[in-house]
Amino acid sequence: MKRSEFLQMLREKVLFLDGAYGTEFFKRGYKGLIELLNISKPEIVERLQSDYIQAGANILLTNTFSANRMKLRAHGFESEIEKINFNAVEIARSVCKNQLVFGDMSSTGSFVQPFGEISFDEVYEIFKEQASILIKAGVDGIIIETMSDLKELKAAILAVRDLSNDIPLIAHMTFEEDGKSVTGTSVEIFATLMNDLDVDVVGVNCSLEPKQMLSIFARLAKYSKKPLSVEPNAGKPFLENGKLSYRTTPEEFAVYMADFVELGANIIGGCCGTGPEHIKVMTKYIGTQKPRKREIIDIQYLSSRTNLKPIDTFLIIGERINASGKKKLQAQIQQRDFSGVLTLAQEQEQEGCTAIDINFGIEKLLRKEHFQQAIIQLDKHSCLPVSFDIQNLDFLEIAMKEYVGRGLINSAFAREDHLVERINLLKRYGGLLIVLAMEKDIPKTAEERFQLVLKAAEILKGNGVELDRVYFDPLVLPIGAKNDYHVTLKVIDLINKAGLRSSIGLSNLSFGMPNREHINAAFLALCVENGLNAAILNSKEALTMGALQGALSLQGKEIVKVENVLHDPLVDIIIKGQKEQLMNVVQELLKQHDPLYISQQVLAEAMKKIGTLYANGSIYLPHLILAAETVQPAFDYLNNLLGESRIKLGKILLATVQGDIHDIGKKIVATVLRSGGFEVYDIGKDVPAEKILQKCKEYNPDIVGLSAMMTTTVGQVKEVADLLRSEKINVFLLAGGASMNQQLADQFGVMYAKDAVQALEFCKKFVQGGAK
Amino acid sequence: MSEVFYPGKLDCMPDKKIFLARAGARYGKLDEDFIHRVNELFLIALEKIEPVVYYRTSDLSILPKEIIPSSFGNIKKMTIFLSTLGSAVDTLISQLSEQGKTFDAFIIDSWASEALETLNENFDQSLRERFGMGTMRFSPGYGNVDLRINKYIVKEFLGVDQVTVLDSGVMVPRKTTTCMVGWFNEEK
Repeated sequence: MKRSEFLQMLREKVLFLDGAYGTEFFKRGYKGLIELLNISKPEIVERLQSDYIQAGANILLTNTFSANRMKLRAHGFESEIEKINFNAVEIARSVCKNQLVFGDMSSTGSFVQPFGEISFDEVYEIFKEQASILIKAGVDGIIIETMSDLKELKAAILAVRDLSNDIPLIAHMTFEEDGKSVTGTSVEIFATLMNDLDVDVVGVNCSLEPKQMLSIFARLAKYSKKPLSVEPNAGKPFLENGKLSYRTTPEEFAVYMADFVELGANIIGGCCGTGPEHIKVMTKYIGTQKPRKREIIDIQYLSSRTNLKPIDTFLIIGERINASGKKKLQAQIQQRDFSGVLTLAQEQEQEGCTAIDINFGIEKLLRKEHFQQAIIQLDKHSCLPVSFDIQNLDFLEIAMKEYVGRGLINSAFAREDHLVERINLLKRYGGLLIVLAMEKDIPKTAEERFQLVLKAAEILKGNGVELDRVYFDPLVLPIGAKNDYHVTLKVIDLINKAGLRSSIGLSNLSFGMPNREHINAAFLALCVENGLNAAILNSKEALTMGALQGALSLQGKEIVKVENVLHDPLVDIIIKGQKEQLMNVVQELLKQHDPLYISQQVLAEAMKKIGTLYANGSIYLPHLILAAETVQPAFDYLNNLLGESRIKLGKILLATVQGDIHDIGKKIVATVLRSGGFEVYDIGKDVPAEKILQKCKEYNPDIVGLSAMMTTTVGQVKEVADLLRSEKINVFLLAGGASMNQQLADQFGVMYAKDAVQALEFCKKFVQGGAK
Repeated sequence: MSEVFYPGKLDCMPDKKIFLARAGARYGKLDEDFIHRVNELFLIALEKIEPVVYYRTSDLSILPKEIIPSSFGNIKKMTIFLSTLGSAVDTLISQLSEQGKTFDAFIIDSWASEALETLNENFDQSLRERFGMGTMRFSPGYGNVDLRINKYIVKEFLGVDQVTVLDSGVMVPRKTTTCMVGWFNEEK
């Protein structure tokens, strides 16, 4: 099917997707890797898909959710990848009449760097391989769903698009109840990046039942310019007569799905826990409907993985990560030591910047790995949106590929060849662009520069780039070289009157002059008066920042507000990952206090505050992981000083249960527990109950923590709990993961921890005698 | 006497846009909290209803003249049916009113009226699949058919004991209607 045909269908009526596969096969008595059914018992898959067709589904998904090489490898079926995917398409096709078949793809189960070990290129290849089989087998489209990492989703989208420009593509993420993915990406960040990427439909699925998902979908509907799809769960699972059941009845599901249609959904279906009956009631209740028109927020945004910055107010781009003329910074970058870059990024955030410019200057001495690593490090530290001041096109592409969010390309010349190369990157990776009002040389007059602005605008429009994604730079030249600053002011005025946006590199003005800050501040105020929208500047210059604030106030405008949630300097250091500074603080404290006091009264207290910040949504998972990693060496150091009396609160054994290969959540818990003073034995993923028992006998832990991500494997938690109890292993049992919930935990007789911070809290209570 | 059909609850689930319009609200303009509250009431009411339809199709010859709508014209047969949501939803609405939960009572009352209409529409469709071309659906109280004919329809024609008909023609349970459809051809 062609994309244009699919999009036409979406304009005509709301389409129905099918329901769950994993949980439905589970209900029907099939366990393990359900994708294997495609080759071992295809009739079972065929029966379920026939049921979905009978229920009224317009789109069937192939039974290939986990059929990527990485997941199949983990289960020992890597060699069957082609057959599993190919058969899945054949089975779906065999039951379809006029319905569509979409190839289903999901996460590899591991996070991409920096949160996991796998690289962007590796996941890209994994997705490309699976998509290639599905497309060759004849799917009508591809859906990528249940993704919690925006970077992994981006890799999957690019992989599909590199195979086919014409295959319809749906991209989904999964969010927690607060509208953020576990990696800290908000639904708005997801929506605004997807507006740029070459996908046909965006949506949300899994994790939440319809009632909880409604507000998240409403946010998506406000920010997304693409058609929308949605697949909620049928509630959290609970145990009923020894079988997992789901709370949301088909009727309740249908009643809420009508709300999604009212909010603008183009495609609706079900995720975990939904079955043919849910789809049948939904399709009958909703019937044939035309999609609703939506009111979409018409503002452009810059974003990183966790920061979303609107650019309708004045955009301040910090200029100080510029290695030109900074030998120490150059040397650090060359050695791939990005501590200086990170410090500058964090300083500029504190100073009120809304984005940071990255200019390594010495590009001829660098390789692509430098840019790759720099972007990964900035992402890990949850930095502001990035402005890519990178001249080499290959390096620019590497940085944009690795970047998570919507960055700014700084910059393109108003020359067709140069501009189109950068437009192509913009289209592939998303983001915004600065275009210089020059081709090879800088025109002398304002009119000449403005003509180049208009010429560039035409090229941009001709290539399908909306002009509100573009800043035009009128060019600021040093007044010390007898350049007339009025020319720049005049171009800003002309750009403003043409309804376009302008941005300048401010500091160039005062190059070689005394009292640079005074000159910069005065000129910036004049630029604002002429309609300037953004500036790359030195945010350390208090006078400049003050003049900007003043000039904007006179116009009744303001700078994007900086949200600073951190008030404790130690917490600040830990969250920013400043290991060296933290060790300096510890050394200072050791002059007055003993190691035990510092460990328990200072660091542990700071981590407690960080846990609270995470719990109330002030910081995100990346901050939490980074904080735990940052504080760990300090704890280890203090422990070594304590010698025999070192602090270990207790021993914890962690495992992901049998059949489940999702590891990252458990690793995060391990990191946080270690940083909280526990001795942690992580025995891996897909661990059978018997092995957990054996390891308990070997390590004699105080606590056993079990993780289950899949609804089809959550029952294993009970198996383990029952086995340990029957063998009289006296441990505190803790369970977590996407499929666990309080009710299940009560039924299994284990403690439920919703996240790593709560797990730490419960473990501490237990060793202090406060939890049972 | 009459035949009985027990519809599924899905046959009675009203379009939210329509029942909210009946209650004076615009679905597309509602905020999320309101939608959640409405959905809760929707599901409470759906749980309470006990829908049932009594129906009988006969030649015109055995029917009193005053029961045949003048707009039906040249029909050969007529199906008359009674549909009710049962008494539990009436009780629920009364209880909510007595507890001062006027909003809830009001929404459920609107919902139930539209649920009954949805049921009638679905049953009407199933009749048309069986009998082919027919008249528009008609209810006593409109046109030339007096509401008080309900007593004859319910007690004598259909023989339904579970529904009380007052002298005014009003029926109890409140969410009960009688309808009639005339058929131009023989049964398929």
